[in-house]
Amino acid sequence: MLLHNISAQEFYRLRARWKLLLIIGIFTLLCGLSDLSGIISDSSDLNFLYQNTANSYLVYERYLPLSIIATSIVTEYHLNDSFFSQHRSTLYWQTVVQNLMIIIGIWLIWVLTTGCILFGKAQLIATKPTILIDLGLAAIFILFVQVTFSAGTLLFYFLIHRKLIAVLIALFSNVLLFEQAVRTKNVLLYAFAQPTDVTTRLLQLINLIGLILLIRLVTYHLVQWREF
Amino acid sequence: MQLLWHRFNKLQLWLFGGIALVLPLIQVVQSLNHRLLTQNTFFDSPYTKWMGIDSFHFSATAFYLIIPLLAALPTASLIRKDLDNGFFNQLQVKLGERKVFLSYFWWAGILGFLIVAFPLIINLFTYFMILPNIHPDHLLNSNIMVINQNTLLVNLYYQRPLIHATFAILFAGFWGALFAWFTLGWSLLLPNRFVAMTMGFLLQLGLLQLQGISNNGIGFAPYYFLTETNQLDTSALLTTSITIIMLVVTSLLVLGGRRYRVTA
Repeated sequence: MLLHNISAQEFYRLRARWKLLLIIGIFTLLCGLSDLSGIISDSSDLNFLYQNTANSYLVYERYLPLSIIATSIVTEYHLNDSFFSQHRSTLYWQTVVQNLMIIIGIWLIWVLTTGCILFGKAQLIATKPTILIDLGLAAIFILFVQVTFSAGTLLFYFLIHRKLIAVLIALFSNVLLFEQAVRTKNVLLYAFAQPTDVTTRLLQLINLIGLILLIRLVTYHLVQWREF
Repeated sequence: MQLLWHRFNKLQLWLFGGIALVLPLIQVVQSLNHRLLTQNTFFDSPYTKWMGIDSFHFSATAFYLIIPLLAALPTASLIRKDLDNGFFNQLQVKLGERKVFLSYFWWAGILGFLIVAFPLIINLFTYFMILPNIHPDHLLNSNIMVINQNTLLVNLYYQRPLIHATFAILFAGFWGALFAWFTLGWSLLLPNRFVAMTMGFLLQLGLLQLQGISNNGIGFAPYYFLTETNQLDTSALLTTSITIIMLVVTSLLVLGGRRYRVTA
């Protein structure tokens, strides 16, 4: 019941900031369109198509920083609400719901834009339709990567109470993880960059969800103990 | 100006300086290897390895991506905080509005400049302590691809590399000051301080995305042209034009913000 009330409240709060959402939406649309030249190139190689759609460089350089900044902008806990509900966890759930709403919004815009561009490659995709499953799983994986970074940013935000520094820590982590991923190709958060079979991808997803739950759990207990 | 200096939290300023130093120091650690330190097969020098020239490590390029956030860290939105808590009004009574506003303006610029230039200087001088100070050669160091398509004043780079690197640091620092003023302007116009502090970064991301869509070979986002050598092609005219446009936009924002929030 508490979570349902918080979700409804945060939805209306977010809707009231429609100008900000519009700007974030335009930026995401531009980010999706940045994929354009890679996807619609003349190549008939499906691997090439995969790597240009789930483009790790684009995700590292533009999509994830945008997602980190956008979630941080909407993150705002309201102490009064926790007094009303008599639960400290209200602060935690508020910020989690805000983050998830904006992340899903950004992800949907990006997926729809990229999906529309992919229509131009329908003939190539028809030669091996299973690539759509790979791309779909990669897109879901990227959604969870976004959630991981937002969970990490939130953890640091509650830890040090300085939003900009929490954002910088998340951005630095992104740089280091991507650098590692490029060199060793063995970083869970950038595993989407390489096509793989469905079972492996699902296992990677389970690992990622485990990581998210761990970060969320630490954040939850931090909110319970922290002075505000 | 001196009065405002006493208002700053010095420990916090050092902390911000430390944060800005993270990527430049990581870049040094990443680029050092046994072969470079013992044999120096490729005749490397500080001028071929420092982060302004290094486009191989993401820690180097990422620093130029987050310059707007770093520049906003120290004092760019302090004026808004002091307007809200009444400290600005107290100063205004004693010193006059114009003088107080200019103090905030200059400090934002100076600290925005320093927080960008200082880590770059530290990075360059760390290499001077490790590598020999030899001039780069366009044949021996052809692996770094410093040519007139991607580097401004390329002759100066091969003849007077230290002066070229200094120009690159000063230019990046100047853009740091510009981003700090950009944040100052937005912080006066927007109700949310954090949104104001991220506006420079959003501008950077927006330009990067436009660059991606336009497929333009010449880099017009600060992320590309602030480095000593560009990842894309470079154009002096385009770089100057973007800088002038940013200067005009920032001036309008600061003047508009002052009229809207301070003198109104």
